[in-house]
Amino acid sequence: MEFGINLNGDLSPEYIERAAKIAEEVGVTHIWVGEQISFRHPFTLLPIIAESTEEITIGTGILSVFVNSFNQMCGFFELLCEEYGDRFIAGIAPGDFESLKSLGIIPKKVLDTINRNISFLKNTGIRVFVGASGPKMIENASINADGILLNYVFPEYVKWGKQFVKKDCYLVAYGPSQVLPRHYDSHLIIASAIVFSGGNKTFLRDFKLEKMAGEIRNILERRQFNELERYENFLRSHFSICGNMDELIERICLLKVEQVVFGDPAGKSLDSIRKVGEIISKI
Amino acid sequence: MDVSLGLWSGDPSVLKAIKELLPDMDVWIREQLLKGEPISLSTIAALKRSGNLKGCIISPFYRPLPVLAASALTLSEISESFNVVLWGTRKNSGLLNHAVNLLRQLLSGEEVVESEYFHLKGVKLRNQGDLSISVLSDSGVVTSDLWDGVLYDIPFVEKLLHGVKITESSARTTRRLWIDVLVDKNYLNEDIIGRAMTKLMSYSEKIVQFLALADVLHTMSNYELDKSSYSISDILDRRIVQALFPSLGDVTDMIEDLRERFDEVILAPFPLFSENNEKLVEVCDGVRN
Repeated sequence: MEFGINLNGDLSPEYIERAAKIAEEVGVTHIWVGEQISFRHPFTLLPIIAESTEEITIGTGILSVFVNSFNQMCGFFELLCEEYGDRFIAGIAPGDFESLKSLGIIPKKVLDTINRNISFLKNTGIRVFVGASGPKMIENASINADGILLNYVFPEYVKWGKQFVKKDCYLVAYGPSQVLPRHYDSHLIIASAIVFSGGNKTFLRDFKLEKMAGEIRNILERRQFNELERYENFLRSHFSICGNMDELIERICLLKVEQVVFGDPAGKSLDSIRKVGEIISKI
Repeated sequence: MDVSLGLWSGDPSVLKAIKELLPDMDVWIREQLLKGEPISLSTIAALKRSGNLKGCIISPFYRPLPVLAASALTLSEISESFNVVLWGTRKNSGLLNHAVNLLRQLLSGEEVVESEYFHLKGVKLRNQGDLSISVLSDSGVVTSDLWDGVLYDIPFVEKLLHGVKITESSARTTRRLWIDVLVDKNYLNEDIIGRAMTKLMSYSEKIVQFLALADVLHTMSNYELDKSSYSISDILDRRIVQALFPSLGDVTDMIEDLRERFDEVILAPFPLFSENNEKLVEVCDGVRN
């Protein structure tokens, strides 16, 4: 099994440089950089990580195909490979619809757009992973992409997602993670709530979670984050990776995927990244 | 007057050039329409620290403005004095002032409540910072107090000085001039078409008419759409080269006039690697000294 860590553009370039070095030292195999409109863009952060590391694989997790044009993405990855070698993965997805709306983007022909981008990116020789959480996207990604970034870190949910995989491909479980006790607690809960409330409709229906997801969405829209308290235990257990060392190891082993990515807030402190290294060495 | 090296984002071997060509020079990266990715290239240039990344010439219409703002902020964090020059095509250059305003709002951490043209609604950046924002002049006539500087891109100085009047509206405006220098005429090829196209598209109708290149621009637009119907010789006629790509000799001749009028000249050699680059270094040294 391989292990990734997620570093996002809310972190400074200086911190990202140090974090990437430590991640590589402690045995993390992949660094994934997410895109969020209010954060620093992955186009500027991936080169910083590549420059400060030697071998670690670096991916975007994810770039929106509706925000970034295919030729910008192709040019970006071609440049990176030319300068730093073949150690990049283009992680793409439609992107968060609410954020897209703030940019005046209304996504249309989502699967077609994803497939067109996969094809263009693959032509440049880059590996392409697709962020997916619903049946159609998972199935499509398994057929057309090199890997799938599954937005689930609870064993039963991962198993549910796997049933839609039509062709063997590299599976990544990617979710909010906390490896140090109470470390960035509120971030963990909010990140988990965002993943849950934006969940795929079929997924929510199959697990009878539609009502709770609606309640949480409402809280997030009102930005009354303290109200998430009553869902905290559920969010921790079902939408995040957290707990003591034994619990963390047990959870990771139960996921049965090729890679587990410790998502935000695990990358927010250097100690936390070192702790990820301990987990890796024990597994 | 400063002299810097200009690199086009889509050029082959541009990374090699950043590291090897004139390594102690300041570097500007210019977006080439549909080729290369100037933000990531600028980041790599800044990280390589061979020379100093001075700025990026980039379109606000080709990426969401918050992406441009956040990327420019990161570049200003890793490169000491980073500048942004915005360019537009003839069709949208009138909106550059609006783009500058919105960028300043985003960079100051203010929420952009709504911009109909740029389709923004309730967008705010997490980080803040200050940046010098200039625009690529499309006519050479209008300057604005909104801008920190103007980048002119009309190479032949006699045309710049006599054919196109420069007016100054603000004492603090930094005036820069971009010159594509044809260091070796034997290398005229398809790469230069994209570059000429980008330049011509950014010129106002008035300048295209002044340079008598309207028919060339028309042919180039069609060439981009249907390459099979045109040969390179249809496009790269003598007038384009004369109007847009002065030789090293031309540049040497015009330098004295430029010194009085510009704070910085950016020399973009074509091709990037040529035996004549030694002469380019001589020209640059001459300007700097």
